[in-house]
Amino acid sequence: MFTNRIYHYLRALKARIQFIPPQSHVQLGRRRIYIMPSRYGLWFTATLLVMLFGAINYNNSLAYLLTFLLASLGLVSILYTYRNLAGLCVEIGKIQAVFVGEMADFKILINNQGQAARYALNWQLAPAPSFWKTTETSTHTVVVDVAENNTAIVSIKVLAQERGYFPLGLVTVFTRYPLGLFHAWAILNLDMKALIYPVPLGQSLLPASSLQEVMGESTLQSGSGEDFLGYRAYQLGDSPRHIAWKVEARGQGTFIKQFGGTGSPMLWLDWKHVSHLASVETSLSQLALWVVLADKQGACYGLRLPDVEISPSHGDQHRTRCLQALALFGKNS
Amino acid sequence: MNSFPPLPSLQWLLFALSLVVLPHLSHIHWWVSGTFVLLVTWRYLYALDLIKLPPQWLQFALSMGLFIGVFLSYGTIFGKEAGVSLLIALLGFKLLELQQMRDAFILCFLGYFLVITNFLYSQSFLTALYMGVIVIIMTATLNSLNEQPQQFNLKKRLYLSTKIILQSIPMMLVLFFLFPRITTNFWSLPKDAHQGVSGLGESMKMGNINELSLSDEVAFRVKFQGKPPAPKQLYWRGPVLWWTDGTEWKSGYQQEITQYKPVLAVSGQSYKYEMTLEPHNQRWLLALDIPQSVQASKELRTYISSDFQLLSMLPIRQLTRYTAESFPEYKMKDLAKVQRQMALRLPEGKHPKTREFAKQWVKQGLNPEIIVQQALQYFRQQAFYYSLTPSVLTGDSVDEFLFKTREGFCEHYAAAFTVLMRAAGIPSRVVTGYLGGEINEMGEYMLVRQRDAHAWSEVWLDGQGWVRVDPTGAVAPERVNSGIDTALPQQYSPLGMTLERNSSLVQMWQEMRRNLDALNYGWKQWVLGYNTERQTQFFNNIGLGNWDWQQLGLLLIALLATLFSAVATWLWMHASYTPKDPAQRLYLKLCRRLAKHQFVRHASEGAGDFAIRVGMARPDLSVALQEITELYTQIRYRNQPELLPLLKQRLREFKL
Repeated sequence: MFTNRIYHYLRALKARIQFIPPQSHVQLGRRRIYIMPSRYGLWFTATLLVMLFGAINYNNSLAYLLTFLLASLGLVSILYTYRNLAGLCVEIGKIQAVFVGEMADFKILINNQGQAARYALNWQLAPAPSFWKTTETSTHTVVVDVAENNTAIVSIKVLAQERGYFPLGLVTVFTRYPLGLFHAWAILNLDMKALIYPVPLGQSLLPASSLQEVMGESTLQSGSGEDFLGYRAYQLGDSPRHIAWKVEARGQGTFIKQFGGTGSPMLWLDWKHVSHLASVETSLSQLALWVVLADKQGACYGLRLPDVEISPSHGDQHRTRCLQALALFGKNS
Repeated sequence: MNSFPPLPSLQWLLFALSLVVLPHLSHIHWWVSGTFVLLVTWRYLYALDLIKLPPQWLQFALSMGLFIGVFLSYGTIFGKEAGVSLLIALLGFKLLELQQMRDAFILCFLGYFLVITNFLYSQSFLTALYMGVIVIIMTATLNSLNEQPQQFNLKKRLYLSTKIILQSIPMMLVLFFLFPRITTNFWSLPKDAHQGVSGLGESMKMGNINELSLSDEVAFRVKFQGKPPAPKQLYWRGPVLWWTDGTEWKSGYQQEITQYKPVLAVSGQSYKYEMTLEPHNQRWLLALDIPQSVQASKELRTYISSDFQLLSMLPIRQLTRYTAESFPEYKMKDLAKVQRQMALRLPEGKHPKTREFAKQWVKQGLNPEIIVQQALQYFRQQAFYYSLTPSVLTGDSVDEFLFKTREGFCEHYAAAFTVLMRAAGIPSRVVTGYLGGEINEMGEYMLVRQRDAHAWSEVWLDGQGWVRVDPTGAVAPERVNSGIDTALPQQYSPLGMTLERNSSLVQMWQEMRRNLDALNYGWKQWVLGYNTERQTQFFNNIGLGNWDWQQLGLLLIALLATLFSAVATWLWMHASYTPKDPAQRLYLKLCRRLAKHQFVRHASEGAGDFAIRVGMARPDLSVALQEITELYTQIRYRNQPELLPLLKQRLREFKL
C-alpha cells in the first residue's frame, strides 16, 4: 500500500521532470529542489535508534541528551543541504562548435546572489535522480564551489558523436554538503546545443578541377599566395592572424595585411566533386576536410551544396559558415 | 591507492577517535588500548606512504584473535567492559579498512557511538563538556568528507560544526524534556553495569570507613523545608548492624528482627527534606535520625524497617530522589524478646578482657544509664586518640583497641562501645551512616560527602527506647560539632599542593568547589535525575498533567516544527546578499522588482544591456529605466554620490 503510493509519487515526479521546458535561465526555487535522506542518512538514523535503545535501557540521561542532539543535528543539516542549492541562478554560457569525435564543452554559468558560499555542487548529465546511490561521484561529474555573491562556470564535456545540433539534455545538480546525511538535487533542462561539424576525413589534396574553373577570371587575387600586397582596413570577420599588430601597437588603427599574387587560387568546393563517394556522410567529411585545408592555406574558397551555395571568400567567419552548412546539411531545423 | 581520505580529513578522524577512546583507557585492558594505538599509528603511517597495510588474511586473523582475547580477558564478549573493549579494538581494525567514503562514514558514526559508551562510566558535567567538544570535532570531520578536499579550512569547518550544533540545541532540549521516558530494560543489564560506585558497605570491619573518609565524592544532597537542624543533630541513618563475629559487623535481615517493630512516639520539631541520593548499588536509603515517613517513586517500594532504616526493594542504581520527615526527639517502647537476645549476642570466647572489664560495672549494680556514662567516661579519661591512621590490630581487635593501641576511627569506637554494652548486659547495636553536611549557599542545599561517613551505637534503655550514643564524640567532640574537616589532618593537599587547612588559598579553593558543586547539583536535578517521575512532575508543573500521550506527542512535533522553521528563518534571513554600496543596494532592489515581472537580469548582462532588453519588451518603461541606469552607473562607477537623492526619487517614481 505504502510502496504503491511511493511508486505513484515517483511516477508523477518523473513526469514532472520530463515536462520541464528548455530554459536559458533558471533560478533554483522550492519547486525545483528535491531532498531525500542519503544512504548514509539512513545509516545515521539506524545508529541513532541503537543509541536511543541504549539510553532507554540504561536509563542514562546523557545518552538521551546525545541521541537527541545528534537527531536535531540531522534535522538542521536538512536546512543546510537545501540552502546549498536554493536560490542559485543557472544560465547558459557559450559553446564552441566542435568536430565529431571531439569533446563538446557546455559552459554553464552559476550565479550565487546569496550571502552564503555554496560548496561541493555536483553537476552531471542526468540519469534518474540517484539519491540512494552513494557510490563515489562518477568521472562525468563536475564539482564546483561558488563563493558568496559570486559566479562560477561549470563546463560539462560530452563526446560529440554526430554532426548537427547536439542538445545538452537534462542536467542534474546535486549536493550532500555539509554532513552527507541528505541528498538535495534539481534537474535542469537548459536550452543549450552545440554545433557539431562533420569529422574532416578523406583526400587531403584539394580538388584540381575546381582550380581550373577560376583560372581565367582573375589576375590579381588577394587572400592567398605569399606576396605582400598592402594594408586594408579591418572588417568584421577578418582572421586575427592577418592583423597588422605592429601598426596596431603604434595606435594607428587596425589594419589587415593583404597577401596574394597572380594566380592565387580561388576554389569552388563543389558537391559534384564528392558525389561519387560512398555516402552522404563521407562526402560531407571530405568537404569539411577541404574547407579546413583551404582555410589553412588562406585560399579564397566557395562551397556549393545541392541546396546551398556560399560564394567564395575567406576568414574565420566564412569558415564557420561553410562548416555550419556542412553540419546541418540535410537536417531540418 | 592510499589517497582516500585526504590527509587533513584523516588526521581529524584519527584525532577525534583517539579523544573519544582516551577516557576509556582507565577501564579497558592494556592490550586493547595498545592494539588501538598501534592500529591508529599504522593507518597514519600508511597514509604518509611510509609503510604498507598488513595483508587481508592477517587482518582477518588478528580480528578473530581479538574476539578470543576479549573473551579470555573478560570471560565474555558481552557486557559493558568487554563490549567497550571490543568496540574500541574493532574501530582500530576498521581504520585499516578505510579506503572508501563508505568506511569513513561508518567510522564517524562509530565515533558518535563511542561517545555514548563514555556516559556509562561518568555523567559529570565535565564529561559532558568534553564529549561536546568531541561531537564538534567529529561533526567537522563528517563535514570534511563532504567538501572538496582542497577546500580544507580548519577554522571555517570548526565554526560551521559548532554553529550547526548550537542551532540543534533548542530541538534537543525539547526532545529531552518531552520525549516519553519509559523505564524498560530491552536487554538485561550486564552484571558489571553498576560496578565502581562507592558508599557505605553492608558490613563494617575496623578500617573500612577509613577508606571512605578520604573520598570527596558526593554521597547525597539534601534540601530542607525551612531551617536545617543543628550540626550535632545531623546524624544520617544508614545500615543498622546487629550481628558480629568479633571482627566484622553485619546487618541482620533475619525474620526475628524484621518481624517486630518497637512502638515509636515522636515529639518536638520535625524536619521535612528532599534527598538526592547518588547511586550506590545497595538497597538502603539514608534519612535523618529518626525517620517517621518517606515518599519515593512507587517502583522503588521504599519502607521503614523495624530498626528504622529506610529500605528499598531494589538497589539504588540511579540518582534517586525522595522526601522524608524525621524527628530528632522520640521515645520507643516494647523491644521484642528475640530482638533483645540478638542485641545482646556476643561471639563465644571472644573479647575476654572486655567482658571482664564490663562485668565490674554489673557487679557494682549500676543501672544501664550509669554504665553508659561510665563507658564514655572511660574513653574520655584514658589516653584514647582519634586517628585516621591507627595501628593495625592483629589479635582480638576489640581487646587490643580498648586496652593497648587506643587509637582509632569512629568504627573502632562504635564497635568497641557496643561490645562493652553487650558484655554489660545492655542491648545495643551499631549504626552506620553519615554525620554532618556542608551548606551550599549557592544552591541552598546541604551536601554530604563520602568522607562524612560515620558509625555510632544505639543502646536500648527501658522507658526511652533505642538511644543514640556516639562514643567518638567522647574522644573527639569537634568531630560531632563541626564536622569531619576538623578531624582530618591539618595539612590539606588539593591538586598535589600541601597547604595549611585554614589558609586563604584553601578557603578560596573550597569556595570554588562549593560553586562548582552548586552547578553540579543543578546538573543532577535537571539533567541526570530527569526520569519518569521527574517528567511527570515537570508536566504537572507546567500544566500538562492531564494530557494524554497523543496530545503530548502532537505538542512535541509542533514544538519541533516551530524550532525547525525558526532555524530555517534564521538561515534565510542571512542568506540574501546585501551590498555595502547604497546605490547598488537600490539597484538590486529594483532588479528584484523587475524579476517579479519576468525580467530577470542575467549574470552576464550589464546594467545597460538589461535596461535595453526590458525597454524593448516594455517601451513604456524604457525612458525611466534608461535614466535610472544612467544615474546608477554614474554613482557607482564615476564616483558621484551627490546623485544618490535623485536616484532615490526616480526609483520612487518608477511604476511597473
